[in-house]
Amino acid sequence: MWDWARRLWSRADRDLDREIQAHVEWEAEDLAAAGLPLEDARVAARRAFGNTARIQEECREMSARTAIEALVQDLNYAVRVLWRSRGFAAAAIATLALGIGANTAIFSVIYAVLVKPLPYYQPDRLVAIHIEIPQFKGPAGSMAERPRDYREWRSHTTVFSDLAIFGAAALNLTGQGEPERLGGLRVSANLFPMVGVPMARGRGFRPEDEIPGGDAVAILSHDFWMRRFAGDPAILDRRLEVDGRSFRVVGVLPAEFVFVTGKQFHPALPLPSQIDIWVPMAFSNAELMKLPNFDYGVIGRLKPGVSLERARQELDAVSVRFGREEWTTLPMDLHTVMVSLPEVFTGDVRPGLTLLVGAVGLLLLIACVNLANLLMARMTGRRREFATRAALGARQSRLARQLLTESLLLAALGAAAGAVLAWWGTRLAISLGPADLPMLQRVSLNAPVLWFTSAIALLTGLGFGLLPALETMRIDLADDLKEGARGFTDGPRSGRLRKALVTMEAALSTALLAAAGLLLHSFVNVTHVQKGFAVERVLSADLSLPQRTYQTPQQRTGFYRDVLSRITALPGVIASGAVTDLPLTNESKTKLIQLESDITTSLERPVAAWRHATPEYFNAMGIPLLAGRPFRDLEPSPVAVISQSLAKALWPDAQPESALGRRIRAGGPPLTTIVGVVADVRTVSLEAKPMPQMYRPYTQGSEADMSVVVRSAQDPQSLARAVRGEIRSLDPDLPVPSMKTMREIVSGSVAQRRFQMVLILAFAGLALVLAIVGIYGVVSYSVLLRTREIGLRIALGAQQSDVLRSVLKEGLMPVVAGLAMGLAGAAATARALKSLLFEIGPLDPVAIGGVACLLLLAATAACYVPARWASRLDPTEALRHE
Amino acid sequence: MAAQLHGTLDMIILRTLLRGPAHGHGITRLIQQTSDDVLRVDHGSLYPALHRLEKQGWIDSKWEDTDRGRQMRFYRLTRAGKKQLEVEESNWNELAQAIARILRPVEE
Repeated sequence: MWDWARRLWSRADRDLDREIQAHVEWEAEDLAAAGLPLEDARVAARRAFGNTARIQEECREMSARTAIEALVQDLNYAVRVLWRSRGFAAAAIATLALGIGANTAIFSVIYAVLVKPLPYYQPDRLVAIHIEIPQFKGPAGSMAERPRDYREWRSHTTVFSDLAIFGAAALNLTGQGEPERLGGLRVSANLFPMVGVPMARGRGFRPEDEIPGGDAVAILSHDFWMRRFAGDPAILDRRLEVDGRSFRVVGVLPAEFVFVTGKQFHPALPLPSQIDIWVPMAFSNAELMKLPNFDYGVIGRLKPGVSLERARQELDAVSVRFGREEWTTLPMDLHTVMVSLPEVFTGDVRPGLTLLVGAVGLLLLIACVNLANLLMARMTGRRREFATRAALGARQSRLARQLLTESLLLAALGAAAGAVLAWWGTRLAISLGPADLPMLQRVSLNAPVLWFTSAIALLTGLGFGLLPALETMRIDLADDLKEGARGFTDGPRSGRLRKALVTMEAALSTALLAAAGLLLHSFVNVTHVQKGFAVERVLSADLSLPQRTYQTPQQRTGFYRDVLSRITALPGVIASGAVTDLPLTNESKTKLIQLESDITTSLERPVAAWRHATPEYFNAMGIPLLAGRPFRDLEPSPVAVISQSLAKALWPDAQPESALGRRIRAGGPPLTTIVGVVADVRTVSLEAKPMPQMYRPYTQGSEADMSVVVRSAQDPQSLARAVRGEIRSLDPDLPVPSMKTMREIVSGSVAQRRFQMVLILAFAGLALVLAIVGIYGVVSYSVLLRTREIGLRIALGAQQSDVLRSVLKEGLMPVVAGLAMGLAGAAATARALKSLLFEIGPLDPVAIGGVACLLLLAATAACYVPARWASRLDPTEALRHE
Repeated sequence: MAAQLHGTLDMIILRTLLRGPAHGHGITRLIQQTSDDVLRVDHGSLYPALHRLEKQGWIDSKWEDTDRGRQMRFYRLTRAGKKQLEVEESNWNELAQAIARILRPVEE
C-alpha cells in the first residue's frame, strides 16, 4: 500500500522536476535570445526561479493532505448519513452480516476440511493402500489390507521410504474406577515417525514393542488423557489394566493430532469413532498365516520423486503374485489401489461442500442485489441532495466516491457483524456435522478466514455500491433540481434497473430453492426406504468380552445366554437378542456363498455379509421372517438363516420357501442347512442397496463381541439403567458403552446428508426472505412514487380491484421472468448435484413445482401489502402528496 | 484574509487560462503582461497553485510539443474550472465592492 503510494508520488515528483527544468530552460533561451551568453543565461534563469526544493515539498504535502482529508471527510459524512437513516442502515447491515457470515462460516469449514494441511510431515507424500478384486461385483470387490502383503511390501519396496499398518482394537479398561470401553488402534511402531508426529510427552513405540509378549505398552490420545486422567503429568509409566493385561503408558500424543476414524479409511475397515489408546501391532502367527485377513489399513510414504502410479505398479505386482499363489483355485486378481492420504481424510464430502460454496455464494449475490436495490431506491430520494451538492461545486466523480464510501462503510460494518455470526455458525456446523469427519473439529476463525471475510466485504461493498455510484455519473443532476421542484418522479431508466434487479433476485433464489427442494425430497426418500428392521423402541448396547476372562466358547455363549434371559425378564421388555453387527454399521465381514452342488469355487456366486445372532434377535430387531423358522439354541448340525436377496441370488426363479432345507457353504466348509428366510436389512447405509446376508447361530460361532438388542414397550432409554444393571451384576468388570436406540443409529447414518440438507435449506430460506424483502421494498417504493398518479386514477373512477391488479401485475412481472430464468438455471444446478440426489431425477416435478409455487406465493404476498395500500388511497390526499 | 488572497492567485490563473492552454512559464509572462508588470508571480507560489488547481479538477495538464522543439506541460481549464471561475469572480466582485464601500467615505 505505502509502496504503491510512494511510487505514485515519486512519479508526480519526477513530473514536477521535469516541469521546473523545462521552465528554466525556456527562460534561459529567452535570455539568450536577448543577447546573453548561453551559460550566463542558464545561471541567471535558475537563480530567477528560486528554491525548487520548497516547491516540491509544498506540492508533495498537498497531495498527501488532500487524499487523506478527503477520505476522512467522506467517512465522516457517510457515518452521519447512515446514522440519519438508522432503519435502513440496520437492515442493510443485517442483510450483509447474513451473507458475509454464512460465507465466512462455510469457508472456515472448507478451509479446515479441504485446504488446511494435515498436521503431518509432507502429508501429500502419504498414501493409503487398498486391495481391489475386480472379479467381485459391487462393494465387496474393494477391501482393506492384509498383514501378509504388508510384510512382503515392506521388506522389498523400492518406491516407499516406509510403510505402516494399523487395525482396530476394541479394548476394555478395567481396574481403577468405572470400567470403560475404549476406542483403540493397534499400530506398527513406525507409524508415528512415518507421518512425522512426535509425542507431546514420553516416547513413541520402538521396534522391540512389536514382539508378541513385549507389546504391553500404550500411547494415549490427548483427549483421553485429559478426560480420564485430568491431564495428570505423572501419567508416564502408569500401569493400565486393559483387557485383563497390564499396559505401561509410554507416551501421550499432541492435542492437534488427527487420524482416520469410523469408515473414513475404507468402508470395509470400521475403526472406532474416537481413538483413546494406541497399542503396538504385534502380529500373532495366526494373523500372519490367515489368508483372507483384510482387516488392516496400510499407509506408505512415497520416496521423493516417485509418482503414485509407479508405486502402485510395484505393489500391484506383489499382490497379484500373492493372490495367484495363495488362491490357486480361484480365478481372481488382488490389485493394489492407492489414494493420497489427504483425500482419504476429505472423504466424499467434497461434492457436498462444493455445493455449499455455490449456495452461500448465491446467497451473498442475492444480498448484494438486494442492497443495490435498496440503495438505488434511496438514491432516487437523495437526488435533490446530490443535485444541490453538485451545484455547490462537487464533481460527479467526487459524489460517486462519496456513495462508494458509504457502501464500503456498510460492508465493513456488515463484515464485522458477519464475523460474529460466522463464529456462531461454525460452532453449529461442528455440532451438526457428521461423526466421520474428524477434520471438522479443526474448524476455527483464524487468519486465513478473516482475510477471506475482509476480501468478501470489500467485494460486496464494490458489488452493491458500484451500481448506484455509476448511476450518479450518468444522471444529469441539473435536471434533477428542476424535476425536484415538481415533486418526486421516477425516471424510466432507474425504474427499469430496479425491475431487472428484482428479476435477478428471483432467479437466484429460485436456483437456490430448487437445490434445497431436490435435497429435501432426496432426504425424505432416504429416510423412507424399506429398512427391514424396526426403528422405534429398540435399544442396543455393544459388548466386548475380554479374551483373558472369557477363554472358552462355552464361557462366551454362556454369558450372552444368561444376560439375555435376565434382560428379557425385566418389566417392559418385549424381546431381546444379540448380533455381531447391527444394521447400518458394517459390511466388512463378507463371505462368498457356494451351492452344495458347486465343485469348484465360482466367483459368479453372491457375496454375503455374515453375522452371528441369537434366536430371538430377529424378533427383537423387528426383522420379518418370510419363511421357515429362526435358530434354536441347540442345533444338531450347522444351520443358517439367509436374507431374501441372498435366496434370490442363489436361486433366481424360486420362491423364498424353496430355499428351506437346501445346503450352502460360506467361504468353505461346513455345509450349512438353510432353516429360515428373513427380510433384507440395510447393512451399511440407507442409501446403498442391502447386501445379501447370512446369519449363523451364536452357539455355532461363539463370538466375543456382540451387540445386545432390546425391544421395549415404552421409551427404550428408560430401560437403559435396568439393562446396564443386569450386565453389571453378571460381570462388574465389563464396560457398557453408552446405549443407543436404533432411531439414533439411523439418524447417525444419515448425518452427512442431513448436514448438507439443513445448511442448504437454511441458505435457501434466507435467500427467500431476502428476495421477499427486496420485492416488497421495490413495489412499495414504486407505489410511493406513483401516489399522485394512482390518486388521479382513483379520482377518475378506477375501481379498487383495478388498482390492486395493476400494482400486483407490475410487481409480479419481473418475479415471473426471474422464476423462468431461475428454473432454467436450476436444471443446470440439478445436473451438478446428481450424485447427491436419491431416487429422483434432476427435474423432479415435486421439488421444482413446489419451489415455483412457494416463490410465487411469497412474492404475491410481498406485492399484496403495498398493492392493497395503493387501492385504498384517499384520492384527495394522494393528489396533494409531495 | 490569507485564504482570500490565496484564492486570488487561483482566480488569476484560471482567468489567464480562459484565453487558452498555457505552460507555467507562459502563464507567468501573460499575467505580467496583462497587468502591465504590476503583478509578478513568484514561482514558489505558481507551481503549488497549479498543482492545487489540478487536484481540485479545475484545470488539467498534458505534456505537449512546442515550436521550440521542447516539450512543455500545458495547462487548460476544465468545465468545472470555468464554473469555479464564475464563483470566484463573483466572490471577488463582492470583495472588491466591499473594499470600495469601505474606501468611499474617505474619498468623499
